[in-house]
Amino acid sequence: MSSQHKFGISANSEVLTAQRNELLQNFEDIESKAAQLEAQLAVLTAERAEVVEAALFYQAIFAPWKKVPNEILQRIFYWTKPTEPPTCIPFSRAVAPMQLAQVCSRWRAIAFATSSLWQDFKCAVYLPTSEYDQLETKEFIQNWLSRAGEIPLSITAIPADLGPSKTTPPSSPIPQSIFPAPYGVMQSPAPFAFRPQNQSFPEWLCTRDKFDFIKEIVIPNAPRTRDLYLALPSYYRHSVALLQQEANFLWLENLAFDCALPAQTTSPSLPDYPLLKHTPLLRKIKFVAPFSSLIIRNHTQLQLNWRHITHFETGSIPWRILLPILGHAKSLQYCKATLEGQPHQGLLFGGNAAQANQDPSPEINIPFLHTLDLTTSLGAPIQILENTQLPNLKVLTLTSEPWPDLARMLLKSVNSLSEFRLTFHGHMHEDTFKGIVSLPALSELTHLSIRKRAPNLIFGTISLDTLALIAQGHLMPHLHTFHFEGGVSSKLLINLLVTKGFISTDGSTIFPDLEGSKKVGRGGGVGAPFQQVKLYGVARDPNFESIQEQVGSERFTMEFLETDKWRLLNQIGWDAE
Amino acid sequence: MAAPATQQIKIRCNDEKEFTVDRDVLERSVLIKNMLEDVTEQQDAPIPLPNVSGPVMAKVLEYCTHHRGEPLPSADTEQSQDETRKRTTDISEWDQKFITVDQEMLFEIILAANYLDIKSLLDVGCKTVANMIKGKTPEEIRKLFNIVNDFTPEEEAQIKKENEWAEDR
Repeated sequence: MSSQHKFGISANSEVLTAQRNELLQNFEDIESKAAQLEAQLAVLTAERAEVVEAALFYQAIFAPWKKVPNEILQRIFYWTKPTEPPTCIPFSRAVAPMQLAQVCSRWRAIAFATSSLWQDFKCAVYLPTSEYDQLETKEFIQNWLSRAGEIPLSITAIPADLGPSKTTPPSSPIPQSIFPAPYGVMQSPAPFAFRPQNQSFPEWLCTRDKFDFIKEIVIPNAPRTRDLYLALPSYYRHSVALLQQEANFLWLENLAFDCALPAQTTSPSLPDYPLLKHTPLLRKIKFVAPFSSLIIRNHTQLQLNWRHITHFETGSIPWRILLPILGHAKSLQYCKATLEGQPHQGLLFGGNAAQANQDPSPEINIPFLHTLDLTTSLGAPIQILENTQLPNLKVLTLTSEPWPDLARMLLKSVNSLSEFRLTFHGHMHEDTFKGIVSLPALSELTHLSIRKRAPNLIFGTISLDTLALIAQGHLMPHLHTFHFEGGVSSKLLINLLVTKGFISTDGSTIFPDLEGSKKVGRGGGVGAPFQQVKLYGVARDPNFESIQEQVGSERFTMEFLETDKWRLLNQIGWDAE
Repeated sequence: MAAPATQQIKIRCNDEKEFTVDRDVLERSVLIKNMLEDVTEQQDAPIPLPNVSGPVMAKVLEYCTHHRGEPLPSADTEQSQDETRKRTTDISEWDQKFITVDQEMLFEIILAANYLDIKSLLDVGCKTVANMIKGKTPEEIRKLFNIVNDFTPEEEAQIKKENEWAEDR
């Protein structure tokens, strides 16, 4: 065995000592050189940091944006405003205006001086736990609104319990059923509103404390409020009273109340006095909850200048209130309502049934009405179409059971329509169907079979002759959207899709058992072909899957869950049973 | 009969660069339009534009040439757009391609559009910068535009307090 170490270490002690000394000397030399280099590196690093800092300094000094004068920065800031106003409590640091106010001193000053950035105030009102927090929150809100200067405000307030801390991370959004999608009167706060996790809807109701808190925001700013959206379940009547009694809303143009209440919730009764008296500029009004829940006995209790109202939307409203409103609202351009009960013409303009027999109600003329969206829950004939002159009606949406005279009524009353959307449920007689689908304006047809006792018979009653008319373009010439729910005969439905050119290949080739498709011919009829088809709650059928493969899932949608049924049930207030 | 020849106008930038341009193209600029209307006699001397450099003017003229003949926005249209609150930061495809330049040039175009009073070009520039800002945190904006955080301790304290109401503090 060799005594020589692998590094050349000898067994001789003198040699070992010499080697050790040499190594130590080398180590010291290396250490010394390393120390020198590290010192040099430190100097260079420091110099580099200085240079970088200086470079950044000069870069910042000569940054291109710095040459831009304040008024142009203001213009840029104006364009950063989101189209849909964001929430202010809680606010996002990545969204104007607070985003801009936290960049640098100059931007902060300019942002604070740009009134338009602060005119939209939308908050989910929680009740801070301590009095100190409440005061601070009020100060934050008041500072925000004061930056808007004298320009008109848009205020949206909804209640929320955010727990002990001032804010909470975004949690579950408020269900759309509570804040249904808006249509143009005012935007719903739904996408921005948050409610605390682990809280069900009833817990999310407005309390007296919250109402008082909201009142302290709304009242001082009433004289410069242009848009007001209050969602105060259980305190909405107080909200209405607030408009009447305590505030001066001289500049209010748009008003929306969301009074949606869960079932079995009671709310304080409203004092008996005229409402909305001091809102001379009010043009758009929206009640998300049933109109009747406002305990309004007749339209005169709402002391609006109905003659100037251009947009009116309400949840369920009795005929006896809606008809007089329409009688007075000569400037109305948009109207959406769910109708309650049967119309009693004698009650028009405050009359009664006995008077009506002797003195028929005058015909209503709404010269500027452009869009009418009516839902009837009881299949009542929509006599509004027969008793109303609507010379400029362009868009009509009806949700109803079909009735035999519907097509005749439509042809007589609304021949200027450019767009007609019909949603119906239950059985439609073929003659009615033919009449309706021959309307040139029909662009969207939806069938919802939501009643158990009503069989899904729409196409069960349609003969191949009718399908042939469709194929030739005599029926449904402009239909572009077709929504269907229910147990349709898949053969007949597929036939329809073939004749309307939705399926490009010969139906008989894809579906060889469909004799009907041979009779009526294949797609490419005279009329416009279907662009999109949605089926709701249909029975699963492999043929539908073949269609989806052919035209794509965007154009052909199948939903086997009956979600839409429940949506409609909620909308018209039917008992699901 | 031949159509009358379009009048050619000379302009001179601050770097002595000169352009000869059709009058209707130049009249996209309200400033130049007013200058031309004030001058009754035909002048051969170029119009001096001391606040615009040659390369920036070349870009501006590219924009004006593309949009020549389009109606100029009036004060009324601007007001009605604001009133209906139909603000959109959408920019047309051509304008987007046109304005895809470095930051230096972008802000120079904005300044030139402001000086020359070309509102549509000013809006394209401002919307482009606004779109760059949207969705970014203050820290990201500082980095993007080389902005120094120069808040005083008092301002920092205020911001800290404000952020108690922020969802993303």
